[in-house]
Amino acid sequence: MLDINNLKVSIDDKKILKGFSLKINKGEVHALMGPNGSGKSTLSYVLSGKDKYQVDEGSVVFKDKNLLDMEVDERANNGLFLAFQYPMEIPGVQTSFFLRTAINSKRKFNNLAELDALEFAKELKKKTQELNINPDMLKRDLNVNYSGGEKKKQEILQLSMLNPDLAILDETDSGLDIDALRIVSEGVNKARNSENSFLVITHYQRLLNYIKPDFVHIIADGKIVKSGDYSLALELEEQGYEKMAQA
Amino acid sequence: MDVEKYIENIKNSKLNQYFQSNLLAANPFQNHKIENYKYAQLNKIDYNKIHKNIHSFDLDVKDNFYDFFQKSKTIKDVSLEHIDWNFNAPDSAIRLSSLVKDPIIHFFDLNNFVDDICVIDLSLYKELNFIFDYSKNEKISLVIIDSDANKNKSPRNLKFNVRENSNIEILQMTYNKENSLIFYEFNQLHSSNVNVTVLQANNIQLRNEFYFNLASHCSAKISGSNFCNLGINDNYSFIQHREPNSSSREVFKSIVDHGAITNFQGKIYVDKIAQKTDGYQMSRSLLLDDISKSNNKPELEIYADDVKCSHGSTVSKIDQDHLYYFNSRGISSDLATKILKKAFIQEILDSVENISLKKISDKVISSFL
Repeated sequence: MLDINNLKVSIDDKKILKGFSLKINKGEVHALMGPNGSGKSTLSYVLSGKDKYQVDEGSVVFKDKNLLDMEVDERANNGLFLAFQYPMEIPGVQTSFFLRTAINSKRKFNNLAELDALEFAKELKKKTQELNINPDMLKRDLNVNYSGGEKKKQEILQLSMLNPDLAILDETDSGLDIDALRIVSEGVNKARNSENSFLVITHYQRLLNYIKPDFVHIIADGKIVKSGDYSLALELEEQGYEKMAQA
Repeated sequence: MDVEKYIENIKNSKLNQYFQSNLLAANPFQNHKIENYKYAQLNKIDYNKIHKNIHSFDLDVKDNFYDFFQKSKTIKDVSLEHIDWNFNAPDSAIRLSSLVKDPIIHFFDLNNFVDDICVIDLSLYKELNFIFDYSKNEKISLVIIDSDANKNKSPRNLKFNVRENSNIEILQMTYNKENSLIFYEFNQLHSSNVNVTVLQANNIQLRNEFYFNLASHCSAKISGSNFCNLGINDNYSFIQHREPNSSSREVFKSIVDHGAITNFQGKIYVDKIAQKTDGYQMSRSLLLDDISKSNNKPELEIYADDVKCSHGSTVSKIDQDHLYYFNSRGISSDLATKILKKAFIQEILDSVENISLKKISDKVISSFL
């Protein structure tokens, strides 16, 4: 699915990722944990294609294609999804309209007929109920005056509507209360199947109680320093990042 | 009062003489030292050169306004009466009447219209001066169209007498014009309400001036949007609160592209007896490239001491983070830009109250996005 090899990335000549490698296969859930400033968010932005991030070296292959050659919207339409840590507020654009435009863009890209209003409404109703989202929220402007929890729920709603092959969750747990964390995690678990993969980026082990990863990696100073299974996350919770990074 | 008498009055007015002697002599369109024309450097445009580059827009609703509203094209003339001409502030206006030697006047008594929507296509009239009179309680909606079908380059003067307690809504559209110069004047009497929505698109040289004259307990709302791809587009407003307890709300938004220039200059004037005035003015511009320009100049002139007046102005580009967010969900930059442009002027479209007008303004705007 995704093969990152010796990726080196800098922003304004400051080196952030220093030889990052990671391989994610179909159906796997990987957790990436690390302290502040270790390069977690940079990795998610580089994969999604945000500008200003300079790739100095390395390669990223996504579904047998060179990911770094693609435009941002091309990557998304090919099945990559990034759930943002801080979703953008866009005044004047209704949330449901945005969702429908996104879905139809992807369908158009894959040579499928666009969803009509009725089909879309049906699908949306189903997903909002699953995620316990108030339908009134979808009539409001995209993320404008949403609470932190609503924003994250909205991201997961987009995830489940767009049904990507690889979803990157960038600190989706930050700013969530316990109930919202559970609902969001359940949403992710429902979207999980043997055909898609997840990369869950987080500071805390708590999220991984809900979304059980197959692999856990620790990132420090721009590269993976340790990999293991779920028990690594528990170990990390006990010992802290500093000790684990040195080990 | 008959038409001849009215024209005679204009010719003899002191204000008119003032304009004739001072402003015309100074030629405001070629002299940016005159404050109200500060940015209107209309003489700098080589129209012949620009005209070759004008995009031809295929606006499918263009010829169908009458069908849309199921109206006949003939509008009946009625007698001319109730004319007042009472702007007193020294810089209140350069009147069209002052600029033309022999004004011809077209008078509409809107009270005679049975339906709630009236469509006026300026291209059907040779006249320069229009006077609209309205005195009913129920709201009437007026659509005024100034399109490329109107080949007449002369300025137009549209004057509205809005009587006590009456309500009027106006949707004014100017599009595909090489040259458009329109003066609007609203004389609002006690407790009258006016809601004007202006949609301007794809014009090369445009200057619209809006004058509001508010008596007590009046409300005036003006919402404007301008898509400017070529030349210099100018909007000027002057809102006079002359008596207590009136309110005005003005929002003007322009989207500027291809090195065009938009200017907005707006003044709220509050007379010393006009206590409890509530005035709001906002102008915003969205620049789509690095060579387009927008000048915004809000002004307040307040002589009363118990009023609420605010104004603001912004000039911005399309937010790259917003674009990135759209892209990251698979939406192309072209489509995202279109959506963000529509979002930018949504507030203007929302100000249209009549459902039929809403439909048509949405359609017109979509064809220019």
